[in-house]
Amino acid sequence: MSTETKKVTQQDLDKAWWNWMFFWASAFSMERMQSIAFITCLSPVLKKFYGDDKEGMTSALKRHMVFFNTEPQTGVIANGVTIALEEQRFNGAPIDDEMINAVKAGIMGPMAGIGDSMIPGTLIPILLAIGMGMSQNGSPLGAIFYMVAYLAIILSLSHWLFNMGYKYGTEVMGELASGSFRKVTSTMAVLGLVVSGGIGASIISLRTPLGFAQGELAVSLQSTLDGIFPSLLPLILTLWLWRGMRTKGWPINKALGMVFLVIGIGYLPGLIATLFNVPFLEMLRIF
Amino acid sequence: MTVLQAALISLLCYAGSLTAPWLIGCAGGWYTITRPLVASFFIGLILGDMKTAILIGVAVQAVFIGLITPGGTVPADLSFVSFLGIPLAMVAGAEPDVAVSISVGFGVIGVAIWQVISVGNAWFAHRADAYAEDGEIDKIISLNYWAQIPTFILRGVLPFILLLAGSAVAEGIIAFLQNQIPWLMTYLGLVGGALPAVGIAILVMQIAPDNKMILWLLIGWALVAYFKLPIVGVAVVGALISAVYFMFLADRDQVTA
Repeated sequence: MSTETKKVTQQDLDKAWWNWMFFWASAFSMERMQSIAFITCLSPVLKKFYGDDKEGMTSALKRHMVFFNTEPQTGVIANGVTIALEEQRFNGAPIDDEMINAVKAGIMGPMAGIGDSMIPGTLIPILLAIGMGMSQNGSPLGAIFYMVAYLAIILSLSHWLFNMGYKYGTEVMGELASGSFRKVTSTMAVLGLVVSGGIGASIISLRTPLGFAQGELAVSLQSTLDGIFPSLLPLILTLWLWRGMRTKGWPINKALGMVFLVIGIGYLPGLIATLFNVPFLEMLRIF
Repeated sequence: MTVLQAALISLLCYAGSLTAPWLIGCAGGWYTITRPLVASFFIGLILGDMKTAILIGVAVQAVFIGLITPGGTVPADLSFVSFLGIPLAMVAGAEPDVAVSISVGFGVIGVAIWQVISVGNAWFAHRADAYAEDGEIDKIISLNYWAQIPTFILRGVLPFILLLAGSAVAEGIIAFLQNQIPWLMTYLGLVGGALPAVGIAILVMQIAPDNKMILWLLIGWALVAYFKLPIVGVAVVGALISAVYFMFLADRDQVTA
């Protein structure tokens, strides 16, 4: 092994980050998830260290061909930390394969959970909901807004996290386990939930034609509901589906099927009314 | 739909699929152009009817607003929802709510395609193992490109065929349904309006750590139901509420959790 020290430059880091952003899922497989991508990401650094050391390269490649999976855009912090460890190892620090793998696994797990609830769980729904509001009348503005806003936010956030990972190395692990970090994630959850509630109330449409009429007096159930709690039916449907998924573990296709079923049952009297020409049944349509 | 239009749409379908790298990975692809709202913008450009496309895109987007793909499990396949469901519903002349039901169907079919890709790609991982033994890093990197072949066939070529075949018959099918069995269209429209409830339910399940967090959802719900606040307003109020939560409540939550 050579005794000269080699530094990772900002240029190497940027190259590694772009490699990851482009190729994180290109050869994605259920069996090894993002391992090929991880090596692709590290390649500028590995080539610098082991470019003329076949044995070193082989052991580095085998070290990183193990299963790796995280939320790609925020979990990239693990890649930054790994590069820092690889650099220290090459320059003589006593870091073995087990340690590198333990650190990768220790970051990828929490970041997958936090990243999923932060990005597709909170950021994307908020931006989409704003975009949908702008496009409600058929204008393309909302779609353009989403593209620009999402790319600007995610690229700068991801690049920053990656560099933080490299800069602070394994100290990141301590931060991830700390109480203040959990505090941030539960605060993100609160924001996400408030916005989800707002989105739900504005996009789900479910109304009932039920009501009764006697002489001059006509009462519509829907307008009564609107007077007490507008969009109550969509809320009940949402909470029922959520309960089914959470406590009974319904997969998404079952949840989708349940909507078809529930609406079908509610529509059935109206359907029979149309098919067999019994108009009074139409009044028993629930939806 | 002309051959050129079908080719352009299926090219977007491929470029925006989860396993295609070209648009900065998922940042510009899966999470941007494959979102139904954004997809409908490009489909509108290609098919030359922006307004209809966007209206369908907004309705379809509502169902899939909270879609998270944890650990590589794709619960509904947005590539087919966006690039088969939306354009075929459009050429068929379907109403947005009916288009939602159609798109959901394509999403279910697409999941099977995803499973073929994500299981089949293990072959590339095994190639990579062999290259790792020899220290051949460039060959491992080249696998990213070789793995595009199956993705291109299933996400580009297959949708191209389905778009051409589908658009030839879609209009006839929808017209037939509208004239012969109008109740089915009413039903599909009702379902389409209610389906976004699934999207919100998934979102809540993913981000709420425990059941009592549902209270925060109800606050957001009430803001819109009673005060008709636009989403930007809900986001601002939500940010203020979460600031209060962070300062006064989050610590207590940590102790009890």
